[in-house]
Amino acid sequence: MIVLVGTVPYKTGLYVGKAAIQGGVLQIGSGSFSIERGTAAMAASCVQVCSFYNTEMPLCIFGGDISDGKGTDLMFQEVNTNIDAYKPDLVTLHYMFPKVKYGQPFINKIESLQKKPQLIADAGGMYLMKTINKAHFFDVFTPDWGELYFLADEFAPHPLYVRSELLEKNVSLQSLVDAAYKKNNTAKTTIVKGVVDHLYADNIKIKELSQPNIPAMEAIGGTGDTITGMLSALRYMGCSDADYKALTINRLIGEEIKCSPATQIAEFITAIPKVLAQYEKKIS
Amino acid sequence: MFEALKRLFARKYEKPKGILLYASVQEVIQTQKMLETEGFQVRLVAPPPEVRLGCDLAIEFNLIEQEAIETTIKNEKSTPYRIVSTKEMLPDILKRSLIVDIDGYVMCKAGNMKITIDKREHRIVNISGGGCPDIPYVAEQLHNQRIEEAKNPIEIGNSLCSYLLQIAFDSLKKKVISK
Repeated sequence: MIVLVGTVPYKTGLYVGKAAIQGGVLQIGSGSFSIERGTAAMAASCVQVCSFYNTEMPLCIFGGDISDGKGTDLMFQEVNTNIDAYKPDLVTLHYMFPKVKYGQPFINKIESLQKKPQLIADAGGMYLMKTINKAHFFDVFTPDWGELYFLADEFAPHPLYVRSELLEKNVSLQSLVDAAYKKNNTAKTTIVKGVVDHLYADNIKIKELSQPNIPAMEAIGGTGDTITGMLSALRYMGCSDADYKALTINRLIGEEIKCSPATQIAEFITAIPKVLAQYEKKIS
Repeated sequence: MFEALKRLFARKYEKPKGILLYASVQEVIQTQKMLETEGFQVRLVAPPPEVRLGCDLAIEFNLIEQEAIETTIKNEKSTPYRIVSTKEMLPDILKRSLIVDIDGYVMCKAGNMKITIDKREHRIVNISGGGCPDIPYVAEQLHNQRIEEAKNPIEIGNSLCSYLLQIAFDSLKKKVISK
């Protein structure tokens, strides 16, 4: 089963259940969540891919949190105590308050499972795992350039604190990726999102993707969340080219809906099945 | 706890400064502004790993001013949860932002955060990036607001990502107002 873990900007609470999209909103048990941004956008993208391929829907463990950290507490208490009950094959960590105290217990819990699930981290989940020096325990990180600087700087506890010597020099992508891998500050697979998307596996560049080139996508909040959600579903299904496919579909959606910097991410998520169908037809 | 304090005051921390630790970034920003207004030489720093809880920001001050600062923050009811001494760690990224034009819109980036407005009405059309839990909420609150009239992100959010967003927001607002 896919288990998606993250916070949503709602009142303090714990929301656990299989995900579905009904009437344009994400349903988790009795909770309804706008798919306009954040963890819910990531989960909705995952749901769309699972639904298209008729695969088991993801289970979500969401904490309602508007940055007082209480929802993050509830979420990790559930994950670090009960995740074995959900028999996870793949776990994705997303938006959260990166509280150091929950990091190692999470790792311990995962290590206690009979079979280690695939582990993906983006957003606060990625910040947390880098900060507690457990990035290399993960299978996939999905940084943008701002976050890559953070992964490359072994002293930075947050992207805010990247040191100037990294920012001032004309530092190459490869040297930043090298630094992140050498210090074990990134996952086995690192997907650097940007104008050109770069895919690294154990510090070896395996692919890059630049077409279709749609500059507006950088401005749209959630275009990274859709990638994380889609690749979670595709990896769970055992798709051999899951990461590259998620990146490709994301760009094709931008092209299909003729996005502008004002486009909202829900429009991307809605278009996933249509673009997946076009993609499958083209490659078959 | 004793070991952590011992490490904090160990020899590696030359010329130690004091730092004030608060439960939220919002309190840090407010108190820093208040202390500056009162004439103290303070600045924002990253807390050292020994006392870090997560996405933290702290206020650094000269230890010689500790008593005066403690009195001031007590009078202002801005009591920190802890006062410690540490080495200097300046967040360099605070000084940086980058403005990019995209087809009728203008985007400003600071660190991992991006904010975009339309050029005609200056409405905030998108906020992108960030990993802290308040960012989706801040984005929802600011969406479609004119940047000249919108609340400051740090008044809505409460994390380091919100603070980076504030830097991008300020740069963009300054550009709009200066035109």
